[in-house]
Amino acid sequence: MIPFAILSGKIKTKTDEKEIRLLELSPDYFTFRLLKEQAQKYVQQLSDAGQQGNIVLSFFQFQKRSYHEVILNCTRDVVKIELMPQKQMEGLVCEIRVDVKNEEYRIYTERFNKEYLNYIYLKLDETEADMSKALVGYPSEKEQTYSDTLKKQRAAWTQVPNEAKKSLAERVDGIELDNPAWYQAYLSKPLKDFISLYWESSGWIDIDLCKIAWRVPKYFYIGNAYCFHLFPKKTQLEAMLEKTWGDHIFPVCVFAPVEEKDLIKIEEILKLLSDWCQNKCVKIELVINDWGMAGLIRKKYPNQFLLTLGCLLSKQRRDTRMNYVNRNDNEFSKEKSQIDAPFYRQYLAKHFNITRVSFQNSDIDKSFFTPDSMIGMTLHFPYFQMNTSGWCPLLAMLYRGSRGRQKAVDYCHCECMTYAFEYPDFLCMTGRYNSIFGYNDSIRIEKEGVRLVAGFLNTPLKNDSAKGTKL
Amino acid sequence: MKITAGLGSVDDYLPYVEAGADEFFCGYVPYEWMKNGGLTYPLNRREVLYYNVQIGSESEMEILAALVRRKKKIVTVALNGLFYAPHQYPMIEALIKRLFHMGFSLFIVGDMALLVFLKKNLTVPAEIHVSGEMSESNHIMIDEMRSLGAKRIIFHRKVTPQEMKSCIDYQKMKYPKQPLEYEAFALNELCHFTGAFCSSLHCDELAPACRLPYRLIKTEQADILNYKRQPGQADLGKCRRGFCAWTKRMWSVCTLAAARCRHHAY
Repeated sequence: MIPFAILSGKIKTKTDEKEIRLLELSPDYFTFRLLKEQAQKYVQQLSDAGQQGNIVLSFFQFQKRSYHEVILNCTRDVVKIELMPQKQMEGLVCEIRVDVKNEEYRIYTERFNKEYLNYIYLKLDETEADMSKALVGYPSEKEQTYSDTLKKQRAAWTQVPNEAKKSLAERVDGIELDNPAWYQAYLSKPLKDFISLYWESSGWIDIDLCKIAWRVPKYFYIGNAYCFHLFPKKTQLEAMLEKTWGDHIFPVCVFAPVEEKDLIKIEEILKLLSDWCQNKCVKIELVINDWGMAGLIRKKYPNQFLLTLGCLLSKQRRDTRMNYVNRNDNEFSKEKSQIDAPFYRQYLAKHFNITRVSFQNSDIDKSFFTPDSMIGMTLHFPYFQMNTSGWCPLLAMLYRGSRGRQKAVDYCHCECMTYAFEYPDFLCMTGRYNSIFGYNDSIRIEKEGVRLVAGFLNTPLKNDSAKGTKL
Repeated sequence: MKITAGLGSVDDYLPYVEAGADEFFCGYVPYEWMKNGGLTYPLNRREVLYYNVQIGSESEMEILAALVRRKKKIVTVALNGLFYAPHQYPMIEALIKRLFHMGFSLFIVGDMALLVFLKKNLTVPAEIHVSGEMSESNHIMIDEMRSLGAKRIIFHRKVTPQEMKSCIDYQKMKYPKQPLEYEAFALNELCHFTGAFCSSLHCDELAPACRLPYRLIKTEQADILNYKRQPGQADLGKCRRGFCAWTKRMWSVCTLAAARCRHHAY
């Protein structure tokens, strides 16, 4: 049986048409099946109409990534149509054999069979990487090349020129403080020193440029969008909120998806934030990555916070290998997301009071919607999330010897401050925390009202007094 | 308790019924969908083209509907793509109506926007099951899904039995007269990550991102860990693509062309 996605068909009579799936295909004939009554009716209809009818076969062409339709005229191109009742499927179905004499059909059938067989042989004989190489020129030989350090690896990735980096750094509205090392660093340093340390630790921009480029951003994104265990402890959070208040910075609290067992902790955190906001007579922004959290805030703290839909809930296709995928550029450049649908934006705004949506700077720049009066947009760069696990692949590897042997994590020592997964250099990917991230610092989108937030998935530089890994 | 099985084609239905399956789920992607943007936006989470993972055509769905009428073992249709383009939501609604009239009344949804759209626009009394691809991990989220018309919650792979119990107990207590159904996976793909948060490519020509080679390193010091292999442990921290072609061939031949050739050593 041939997969329907690569070969589909349609039978058309004067009065009716129906999608069919081909069972067998050769240059001379093909077969398909219908329910017994339908098969008899189809043959009868054709016969009553003097064989007037069409059969359309759609062949998927891998290289063009599109379908080619071959239209067979039942009078001209079909030699014979034969009904073959089947005993299988409880006698409900009838197979139909169609003998064909048509040159276009023959050519496309032969081409299709060759392509499909080629795929099967590649799948059977080659490794996945070598199969990708044969199909789309994926550089499988580079899968063996790793840098010694993450820093060296990042330097090996294609990056925008320094001037562009400088202008981006000057445009940045917010920075991510997404792990305990940064919380500690922020609490232990004066603001200017901390900002300096942040850019120096990024390894993204030259230190000379840092001195010119850095300025105090308006927003600090506190918390980790992927792992709940990396959220600041209660006392740390209180201290950070107070410090941001003193530094005239807007704190934005970022929450990861919440498991049932963590709901009590979340309620305590929300209470703390609510009290703090009431004391200061302000509303702070919360980034949510879980519909339960959105529901909780809607029920218990209506209108007390400004909500942002996090990157895990604003769906995008995010992969560093888009350049290798067999793609039709027109098809991908038109890609849109669910947020582009007005009915959905309206729902988010009215039901959950969501005022902003987070996107990440993956390479499909046109998928970003245009912010409007209802919903604003935050763009995170230069890393974008590709995969996240609700449990922890890193702990599974460290303590159980395999990334797949994951278990629910009740308590965590933040081993992700010390360990990471490294991927081959050319993939521009890194495995941090419980996720895989891709790298892309080229921002090709210039839309008004977009808040730019930088995050480097790192810890403060070691030679600094903050000592990021001391947790 | 019921056993639910996935169908890769109509031919699987009867053998699975005989083997004891109580209900089924399947995928169906019409040709019109594929032709109009479906190559970019998969209708469900089986995103490959070259495998028999969908039921296939309308005629095959009609055969399946006839088998369901005879055997009385229901089939749910998965429409659990993570997201769609705005113009595709009405297309999905129309597809649900067509399938409903064919005899399928249960649908699995994995996109919040689709859930919202169907709640507002669906005119046939179809039942909506919330896919594990929505990452239901707490009872408040289940409340939200219920308010959008969900009749069954499919827990994603990384929810512990205790958490499931806690969510179910809460729902039983709060809504004793409107019970929900629940579903959990016993066997599934060997994904390392959570489906709802998997934004990377799933296609025929490239391996899924979770099967790419990787190694464990220290972050700042970045010296490669001299990780010691424990007795009985498999190929730790290394690329698992080192399987010889012969082994792979045997594995693949056993499962014919539709096999997912896995290099994982668990």
